[in-house]
Amino acid sequence: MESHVDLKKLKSIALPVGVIGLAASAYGYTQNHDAFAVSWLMGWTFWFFLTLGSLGWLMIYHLTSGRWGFVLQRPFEAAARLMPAMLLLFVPVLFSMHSLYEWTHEHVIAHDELVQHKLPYLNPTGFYIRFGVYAVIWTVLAFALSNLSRRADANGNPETVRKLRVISAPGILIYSLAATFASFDWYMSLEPHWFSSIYGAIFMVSGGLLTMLFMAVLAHHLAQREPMKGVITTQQFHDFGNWCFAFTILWTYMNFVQFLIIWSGNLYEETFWYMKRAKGGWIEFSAVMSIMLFFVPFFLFLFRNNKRNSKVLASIALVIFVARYLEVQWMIAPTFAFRADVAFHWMDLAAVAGIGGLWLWLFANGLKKAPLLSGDARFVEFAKGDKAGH
Amino acid sequence: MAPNSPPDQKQGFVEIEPVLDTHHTMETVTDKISAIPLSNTLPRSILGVGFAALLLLGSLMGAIFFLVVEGTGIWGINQPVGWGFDIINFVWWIGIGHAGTLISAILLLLRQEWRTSINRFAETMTIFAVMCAGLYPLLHTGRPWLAYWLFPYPNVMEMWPQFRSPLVWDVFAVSTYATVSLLFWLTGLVPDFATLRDRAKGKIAKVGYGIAAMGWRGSARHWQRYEIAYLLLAGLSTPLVVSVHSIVGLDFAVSVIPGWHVTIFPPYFVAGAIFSGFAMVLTLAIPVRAIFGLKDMITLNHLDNISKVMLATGLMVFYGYGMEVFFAWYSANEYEGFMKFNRMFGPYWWSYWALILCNGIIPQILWFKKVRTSPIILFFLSIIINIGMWLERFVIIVTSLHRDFLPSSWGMYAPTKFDIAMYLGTIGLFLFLMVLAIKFLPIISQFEVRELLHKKQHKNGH
Repeated sequence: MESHVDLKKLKSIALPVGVIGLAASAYGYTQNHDAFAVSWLMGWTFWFFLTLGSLGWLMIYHLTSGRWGFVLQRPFEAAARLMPAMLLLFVPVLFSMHSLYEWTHEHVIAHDELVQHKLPYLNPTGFYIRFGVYAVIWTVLAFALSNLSRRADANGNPETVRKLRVISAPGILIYSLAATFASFDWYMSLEPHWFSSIYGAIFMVSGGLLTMLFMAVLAHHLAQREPMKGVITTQQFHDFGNWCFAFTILWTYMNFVQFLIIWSGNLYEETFWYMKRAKGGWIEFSAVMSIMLFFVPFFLFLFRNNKRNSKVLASIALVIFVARYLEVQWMIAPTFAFRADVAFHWMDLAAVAGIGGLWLWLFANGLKKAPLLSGDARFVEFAKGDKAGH
Repeated sequence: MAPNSPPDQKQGFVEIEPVLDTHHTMETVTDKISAIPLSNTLPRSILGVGFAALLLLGSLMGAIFFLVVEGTGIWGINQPVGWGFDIINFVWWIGIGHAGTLISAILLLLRQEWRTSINRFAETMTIFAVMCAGLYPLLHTGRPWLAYWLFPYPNVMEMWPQFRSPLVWDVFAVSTYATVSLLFWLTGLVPDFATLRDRAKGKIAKVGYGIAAMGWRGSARHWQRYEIAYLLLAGLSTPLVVSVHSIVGLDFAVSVIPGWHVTIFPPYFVAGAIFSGFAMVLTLAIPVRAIFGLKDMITLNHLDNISKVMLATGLMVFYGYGMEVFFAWYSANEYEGFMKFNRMFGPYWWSYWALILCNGIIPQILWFKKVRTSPIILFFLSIIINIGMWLERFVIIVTSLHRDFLPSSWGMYAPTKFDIAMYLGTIGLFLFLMVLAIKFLPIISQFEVRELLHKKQHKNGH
C-alpha cells in the first residue's frame, strides 16, 4: 500500500554512507587525534547501544515469554550478533586512551590524590582486561542464544525454550554487571573524580530505550510483507509503544533523581559534573534534550492511537531515535576543554554515520541469515493461527 | 514482565500447575470463597493468631499511652542517632505495602492472570501495612494531635512546611498512596459484597454487606462503569508504586550523611519494597491457603511466580549493596570509606552481615524450582526476607548516623522497651486486622476468579 524501505534499499544506502563516514573519520584521525577520539566514542556508543540493548531485550523476552518479543526475536538476535564487530570498532578507543582518559596521564597521576586512590581500578591494564572480560561475556551470550534458537528452527524441539531460559536467567545477571562496570570504565571515568552509583542503571536503560525505538521503526517496515505480514499485529505495536513509553519515563526518573540528589547535597565533588553542563550553551542543550527526550515522547506515547497505528508509531520512534544522539553528546562531550562550548564537529557526523552505515549494512545482512520468524515453540502455533484468521 | 503472556504454555515446557483448577464451576468458586466470611466459626489456628494479635495490640496501646504522656524521650533516639525504630519501622511497613499495589495495578495492566487469586489478599495487606506505617511519623511528632501542621495551609503563625524537604513530599506521597489504595480495594470489593449480601442468611450480615455493596445489582451498566473505574484506578496506582518508595529513598539520599547520600537509593528502595512486600504475601498466603484448603486457587504456579519476582527484586537489591560498597571506595571520599568499613566491621557489624545473609545469600535458593514450589521452604524463606529487609533499614539508618564526621560526636543506639513494644504492637495491629479481614471479607476476589475460570474453560471455544 504505502512505500516502505526494502532491506536491499537500506543496504545500498548504508554501505556507501558507512564507507564514506569511516574514510572521513580515518582522515580526521590523521588531522586531530583528540577531536577524533571524542567523536568516535560518541558515534560508537550510539550504535553500540543497539547491539548491547538487543542482547538485553532478547534475554528479557526469553524470561518473560511476551508475544512482543517473539516477533522481534530475530532482529534482536541479528543485532546482538554484531557484538564482535562492534567490539572491534572499539579498538580506536583503546588507541586513543591518552586523548580520552585523564587518568592515563603521568602528570595527573603524580599530582592528583584522588586519581592515585583509584589507580587500582583506573589503570590501562585493568581497563584492557575488563574490556576483554565484557567482550567474552556479551559475545558468548549473544551467540549461545542465537545459535540455540536457530538450531531449534531446524528440529523444532520445545526443550530449547527451557535451555534459552536457563541461559538467560544467569545471563541477564552477568550481562548487567558487565554493562555496569563498562559504563564506569568507558564513560564515568572520563571525569575520574566524578561518581554516581545510579550511572550503570541509567546506561542500561538508555540502551534498552534506544533499541526499542529502533525496533519499533524496523517492525513497521517488516510488517508490510511476508513473513511478518499479519504476524506483527496492532497489539504488538501497542506493546512496543508501551515499552518506549515506560522506558522514557524510567530514563527520565533515573536522571532526575540523580540530579535531585546531587543538587540537594550540593557537594563540589559531585556538582562539578553538572556545572560543566550548565555553561557554554550546554544549559540550553540540556533544555532541548529534556524536551526532545522526555516531554515530546511522553505526550506522544501517552496516547493509545499513536501506539496502535504502526505508521505513526514508527514516525515518532524514528524522530526520538535520532534525537537520542543528543544524550550521547551530553554524556561525553562537555568533559573536554575543547568542547566546553556546544559545537558540532564535522567528525561527529563522520563517526556516527560511518559506524551507523556499517552497523545497518551488517545488520541487514545478518537479518537474512535466519528465518525472520523464529520457530519458537511458545508462539509458532499462535502465529500460524493468527495468519489464518486474517 | 510481559505485556501479554503466551496463549498456551502447554507446548512442551515448564508448566507446574495451572493458575486455577478448571474443575471448578462458577458455583463452586463462589461457594468456596464465600463460605469463609459467611460461616459463624473460624478455624482454631486463626482464632489463636487473632488472640495473640490482640495481646500485641494491647502493647501498642500501652506504648502510645506512655508516649503521649511522656514524649518521645521514652524512645531510644538521641544524638547522634536521631532516627531509630520510628523510621526503620515506617520504611519497613511502607515497603511491605508495595506488593499489593504492584500485584493489583501493574500486573493487571500487564495482563498477568496469576494475579487474580492473590490480588485481594495483597491489597488488603497494603491498606493495613500503610496504616501501621502511618502511625510512626504521626507519633514521632510527639504531639500527634498537631500533625495537621505537616500540611501546608494558611495559618496565623505564618509557618509553612519546608517544601524542599522530602519529608514533606512523604506527607503527600503516603496520603495519596493510602487514598488510592483504599479506593482501589473498595471498588474491587463492591461486586463481592453484593454476592455476600445475596447469600447471607443472618439479618445483620445481610444489612451490613448490603450497605457495603452500595446497591450493586450486577447490571451491564454497573459492570461497564466498574471496569472503567478499575482500570483508571490501576493507571493511577502504577506511578505510586515507584513514587512512594522513591521519596522514602530520597528522605535519606538528599542529605549529605555518608551512607545516605547515594544516587541509586530511589530505584533500589523501590526494588527492596517489592521484595519485602512479596515476602509478606507469602508469609500470609501460605498458611491461609493451607488452613482454608485454597490450594486449587492459590496454586504452586502462584508461589512459583511470586518467587521469581522475589528472586529478581532481591538481585536488584543485592546489586544496590554492591554499588554501595564499590562507590564507598571509588568515590575516594574518606567519610564514605569509613562509613562502609564501620558498617562491616564496626560495633554493628553483625547487622550488616546478617543483612547480606538474609537478603543476598539465602534467597539465592530461589534459583531452584524445587524451592519455588515448596510452600514450607518458601514460608521460612519469606520470614528470613522480612527480617533481612528490616535489617536493611536498621543498617542504613543506625550505622550511618552513629559515627559521623566527628569522633567526638559518636554514640550508640539501642531501642528501649517502648520502641520494642510499639514495633510488636504494630505487628499485632496488622495481624489483628488481617484476621478481621479473613473473617468478614472474601479474601479471594470471587468475580475475578469466575471471570478467569470462564476464560480458561472457553479458551478453545472461540
